[in-house]
Amino acid sequence: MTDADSPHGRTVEFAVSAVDWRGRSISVGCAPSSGYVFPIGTTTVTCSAADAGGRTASESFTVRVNGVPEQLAALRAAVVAAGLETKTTEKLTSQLDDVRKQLEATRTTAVCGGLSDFVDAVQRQSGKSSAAADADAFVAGAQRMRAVLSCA
Amino acid sequence: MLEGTTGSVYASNVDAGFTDDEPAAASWYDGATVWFAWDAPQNGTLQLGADADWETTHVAVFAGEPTAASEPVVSEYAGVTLEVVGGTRYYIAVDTEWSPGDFFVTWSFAGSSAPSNDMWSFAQPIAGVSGGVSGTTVGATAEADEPGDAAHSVWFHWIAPEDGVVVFSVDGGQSVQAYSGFWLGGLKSLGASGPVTAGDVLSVRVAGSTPSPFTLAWQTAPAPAPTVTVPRA
Repeated sequence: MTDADSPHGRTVEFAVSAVDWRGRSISVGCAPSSGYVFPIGTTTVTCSAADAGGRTASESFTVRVNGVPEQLAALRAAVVAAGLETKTTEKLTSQLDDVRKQLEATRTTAVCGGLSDFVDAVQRQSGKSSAAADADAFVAGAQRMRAVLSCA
Repeated sequence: MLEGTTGSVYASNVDAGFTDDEPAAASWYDGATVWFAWDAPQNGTLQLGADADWETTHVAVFAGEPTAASEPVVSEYAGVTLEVVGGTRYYIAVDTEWSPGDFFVTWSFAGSSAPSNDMWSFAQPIAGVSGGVSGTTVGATAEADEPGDAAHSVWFHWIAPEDGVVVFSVDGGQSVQAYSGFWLGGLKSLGASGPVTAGDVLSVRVAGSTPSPFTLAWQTAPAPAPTVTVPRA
């Protein structure tokens, strides 16, 4: 599971391997392949291999790319879990709640603005009531959602 | 070439000579040596005679192609009896004592009671993904270079028809071992079971310290499909 970082989703790399019945490494191919830009949502990847004797095997796994709603919920949960001052937590979660409402109303411009306001608020609090590392993570999360939404 | 297990040929050593590359032990007095060859089909006993009604003959037998320095397995007047090893070519030199002339060469072979697959080079072919075959180590012996220490052994050759894991088993108080390799002194043990790839040639040795009839059985489990490892969801 990973977060989208563009409107198209996210480039995901993964490692797979295959061995024949005698434990010798053999080539394996996957569709979609590693390095593919996975769209937002769940995509099933199927990997197949064939040994020298023509025996084949396949395994599948899923890649989940979170869109803005999931990322927004995760960011809100992270803010709550950060242990900030109550007043700061309330302010930041309130901002995110507003963003969610705008998102549900498909008001993209308002969502972009709300996320921008959230970034400003976090940066003002950075080093005061929130740890710099937390602040950086919150800002990165908000900026990533702005990238997904193609905010100006 | 003397063909078959018994027979007789009319021969002559008139005008026969003796060359430097012939073993000295092949010649009698006059050096008029003529040569014959015979292939032993299996272990057993060979009787050879060179009969001339006017002269005493001399017969010398060499195992394998002789050189000038070779010594005969046996040499006697008129005829010899010797134990032969299956798969070996024997070279027979016949000479006369005083003067050359015509004579009959006769031979008679009696196979020993040893199984035909007593020797690795005469291994009995077996085939199939699975199967069984009866055999015996009664009368069998161990060759000098063969692996294992049991005194009585016989051999089979099996070609893997497909990829898989083959398991050999034997009853009659005998043991079974499979080997890879293409010469007796260089065989590599695989145990009684192991992975094989289609086309692999295995030498299968059934042996026992107490010889006995047996049934050799084998079964090949097909090779499983490859294993693909992917990330956990």
